[in-house]
Order: sequence, then C-alpha cells, then structure tokens
Amino acid sequence: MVEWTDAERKAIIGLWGKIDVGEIGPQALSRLLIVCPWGKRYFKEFGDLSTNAAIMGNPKVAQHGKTVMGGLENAVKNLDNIKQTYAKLSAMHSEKLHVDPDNFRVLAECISLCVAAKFGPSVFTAEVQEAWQKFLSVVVSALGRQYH
Amino acid sequence: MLSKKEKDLIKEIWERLTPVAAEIGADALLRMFASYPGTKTYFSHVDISPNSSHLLSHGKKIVLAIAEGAQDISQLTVTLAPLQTLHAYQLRVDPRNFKLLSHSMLVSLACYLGDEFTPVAHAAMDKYLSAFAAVLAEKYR
Repeated sequence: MVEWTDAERKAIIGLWGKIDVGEIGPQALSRLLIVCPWGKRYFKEFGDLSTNAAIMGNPKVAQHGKTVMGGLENAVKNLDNIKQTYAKLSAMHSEKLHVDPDNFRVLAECISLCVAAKFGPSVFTAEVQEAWQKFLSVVVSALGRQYH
Repeated sequence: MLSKKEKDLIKEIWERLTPVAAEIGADALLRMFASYPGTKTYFSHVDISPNSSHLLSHGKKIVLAIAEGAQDISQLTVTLAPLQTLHAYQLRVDPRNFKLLSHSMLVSLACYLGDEFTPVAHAAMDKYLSAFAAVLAEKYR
C-alpha cells in the first residue's frame, strides 16, 4: 500500500487542478515520440509521424495524449487504490496492445517536463515535483502490474 | 546521434546558462535529493540544505562541466578524462544515479527555459546528457 503524506496529497491534487489535460497530454505524447522515436512502433495507424512537425500536428497523437492524461483523473481520485483502478488498463496494455512497460516510465518523465515548463519553478517546486513523480511512478507501476 | 543543428543548440543553451550555473546546478541537485533520497547518501559529510554554500558550489561545478563538454561534443572523452578518473576511482558514485541527475537537470532546464524548452531542445538535451553520463562512466569497469 502506498503511503501518502498530507503534503503529498495536497501537492498532487493542487497540481492536478491546474493542469489542462487537453494541453499537457498532447504535448507529453508528442515529446515521447520525438525524444524516443522507437515509441512510434505502437502508433502505426496514426498516420504521418515522420517529422517533428508531423507529430506535433497529428490529431490522433493529440487525441490519444488527451485520453491518456485524462485517465490520470481516476488515479488522482483514487490515490489509495491506484493498483486496482488501473488493473484493467494494465491487462489491456499487456495482452492487447503489447506495449513495453518502460514506455510508461518515459511518458511519465515527459509529462513532468511539460508540467515543469508550463508552470515554472515557483509552482513546480522540488517538493511538488517529488510528490508528483511519486504519484506518476505509482501509476506506472500499476500499469505494469498485470503483465505476465 | 547528435546532428550539427542539435550540437549548436546545446552549445548555445549551455553558454547562456553559464552565468547562472550555481542556481541551475543547485536547483537540479535539490530536485534530485527530494525525488530520489538515495542520492543523498553520497553527501552525508556536507551540508546540502537549500542555499547552503556547498550546494551552490557543487551545483556550479557540475553545470560548468556540462557546459564545457558542450563546447565540443565530439571531444567529450578527452574533455571528461579527469572527471572519468575521479568518478571511477575516488567518488565511486553508482553510475545509475547519473540518469537521476540528468532527469532532474532537465526539469530545472524546463522550469528555467519555459517555452524555449521546445521538444527539439528537450530531445537534444536528453541525448547530450545521456552521452555525457555514458562517457563519465567509461572507466568504471
């Protein structure tokens, strides 16, 4: 069971309240595909991903980024039960989508960097970063949990 | 592999950050210590609290070394030779920690550069810091 301090809960919920899922989600997924291009293997039906401009302008990338980021809402609302909350998604990513779970970690890093760039050091302090990254690592772990 | 454009961009960014090396470096270290408490074990003998003189001087040292490497990335193995020896034979920092500092450094850069931390700059920096860390670890074994 994950233990959250009051400060961590406050930081996570506070930061989540500021985040525009439609903005950060597409940015984070685009960055994943630009920084780790081998991630493109999972998005063959998304159309043109051949250049950075193509990736950043691709509406399917944007939509999927929004979907993934929006999914974090469930985790924020269920901080004490993230493993169960993500069990079905985990099974799906393993059995249907066959996604290497290391990609979840990379996407989490991209999300943190987009949030840092958007909000700057006065909002994304070292303490907020710690709480936020701990939260994302729990989600990443839950997503990888049902792999077999 | 870094393209010429990426190398120029990396060089230009680190040159710009040299005057605030202590602030950026200290910020990155603080973030690393907060998110990855295991990294603090290497600093048990010094004061690494926010604004401590050691944190600022150590942060400055690290950023200046990264900036120096960025001047001529093709010569990284030559530039880093003394630091390679230091880390391998004296400091013996587990090189898995280099990744943690690299990520923390990227967060500091994102905070500091904001919009300028474009996906292109992000990718270039990530590649450079990975290469830097790999070269730094070369003499370990």
